[in-house]
Amino acid sequence: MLNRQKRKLLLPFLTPALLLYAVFFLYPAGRTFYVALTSWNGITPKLPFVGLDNFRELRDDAIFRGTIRNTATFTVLGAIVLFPLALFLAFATSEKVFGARTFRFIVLAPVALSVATAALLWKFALNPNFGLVNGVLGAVNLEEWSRPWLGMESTAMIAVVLATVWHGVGIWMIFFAAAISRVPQEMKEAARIDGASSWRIFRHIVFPLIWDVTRILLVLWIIGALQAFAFIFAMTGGGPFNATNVFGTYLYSAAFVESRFGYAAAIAIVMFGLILCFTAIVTRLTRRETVQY
Amino acid sequence: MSNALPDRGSARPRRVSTGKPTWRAVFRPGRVLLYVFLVSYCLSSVGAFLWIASISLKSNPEFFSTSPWSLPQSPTLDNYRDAWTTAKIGTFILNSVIVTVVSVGVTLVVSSMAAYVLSRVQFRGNNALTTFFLLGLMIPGFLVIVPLYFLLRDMHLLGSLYGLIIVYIATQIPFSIYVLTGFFRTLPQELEEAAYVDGASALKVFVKIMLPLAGPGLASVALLNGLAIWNEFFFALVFLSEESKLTLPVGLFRLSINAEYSAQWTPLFAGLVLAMIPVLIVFGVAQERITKGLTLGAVKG
Repeated sequence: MLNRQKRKLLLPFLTPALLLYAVFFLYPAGRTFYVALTSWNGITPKLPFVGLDNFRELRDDAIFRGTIRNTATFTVLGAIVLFPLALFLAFATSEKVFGARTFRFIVLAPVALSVATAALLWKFALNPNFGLVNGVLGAVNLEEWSRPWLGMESTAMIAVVLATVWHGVGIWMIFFAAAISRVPQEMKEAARIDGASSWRIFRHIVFPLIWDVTRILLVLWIIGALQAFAFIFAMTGGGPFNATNVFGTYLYSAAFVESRFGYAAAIAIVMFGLILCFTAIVTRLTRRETVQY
Repeated sequence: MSNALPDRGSARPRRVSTGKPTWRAVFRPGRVLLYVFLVSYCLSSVGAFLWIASISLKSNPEFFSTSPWSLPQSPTLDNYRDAWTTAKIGTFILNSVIVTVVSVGVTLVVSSMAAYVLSRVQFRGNNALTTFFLLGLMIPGFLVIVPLYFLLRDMHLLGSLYGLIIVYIATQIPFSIYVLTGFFRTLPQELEEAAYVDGASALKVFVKIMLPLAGPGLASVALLNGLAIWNEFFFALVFLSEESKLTLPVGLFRLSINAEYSAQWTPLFAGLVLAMIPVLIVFGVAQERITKGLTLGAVKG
């Protein structure tokens, strides 16, 4: 009856999505595992099979080891800047403050900008010749602090991290705000009537209750950070001297600059393995997130 | 979500809200610090925008001869004309609009059909098929890029907007199905049954009853996908090459590379402004919905 009627929809309704998804997403994903075992340059019709050679080469590749270090630095540095900032912004704008909505809009607005736009904005702001940052430093007599931020190995990574955080912090603020809004208002009110300061309310009531969410967001950040690409590519291109070369930028240049597609596929496999590990962690954490309050 | 943002009324000082006037709370030392930080953070953000806008009004010689943050002496709109015509920002915007609208539209149609069947029809292999789609949530773009590049090349879709659109649709399907199946599952069974009793066909029930009920879910998915596609950089960078085919993110990036050689910086700043304004307007109008959608899409990370 009802279900039989609906079953007529099965084929016509499922086929388009299935076809597009399988051909243009799942199939290439699977094929990467095969390409990773070849030394293909993209020109020969046949893919020369080389077994695990690409992975062995990766193991001994000093640049690749550098990209592991840089990706880790990016991930850790980003978390250190992003999480306190996002949490602060979320808590501050959840409190009764004037213009909370406006603050949120301004913090969130960069999210709407394309990564390329935001990256260029910061690339210009940090430009040694006409940049805003050095200009401001000069104006407040801190000229000796001004430098080619993106051109120095010591500062390029920090600059890239700050730009990434500036662009994305709004999303994380929203995630935290959603978690904070689930903290019962009465608990906060009660503490406030007892004379607790905002800081103590945050430290002893809000933070413990959103800790589970924070853990999950942290792992999500790690998964995203492992795939960092656009900001770094547009701002530094992985330079100077590979100082900001991460998985994404290295894979890109291996494939589309050097035409070493097998090697690039092997990098993708390593990335995917790491992402799977962290995804497994998220899944476990999510399952445990059953705190009722 | 709704109580995350204090409404306008409660943000203003009121005489009786929590027993004591909030204006006093506002001037506690901790609060002042909080404001100082919020305001300075926001000012520096807005400052960066204004700086770009101010430079976009300078002529190239003025840009090089004056301090980077001086106001334009004689504001000119020439950069905008250059950006629109010679720098092809207009073409980039048009391409981005086409790619985003078509991709979002087709993704929505295709995914809502699949999600409806997966969530509301019992058949063998339903769970397996749902899992099969959700597998895509774990696949990063980097894992597909190399074979996809050659797949598109062999289909003569490399460098064309059609190819990019197909890729965007395929990559957005898992997330869209994930959100929409969740949404369809929450809808009441009775409405559907009543319509069947009245003799409506399955297709009609889907189009006339289920889709309208899923409206908010569809809107969230459309907004999130739209935002993601409008800003997408990696696939567009790899798959597009001809200048007249570039989408806005890649087009701007290409312009910035060219500007390094030609030292024609000011039109690029105008281009940035042109790229920012439409999204900021959309964002201002739909902030509430985007905020809700983002919370929904947390899983996507």
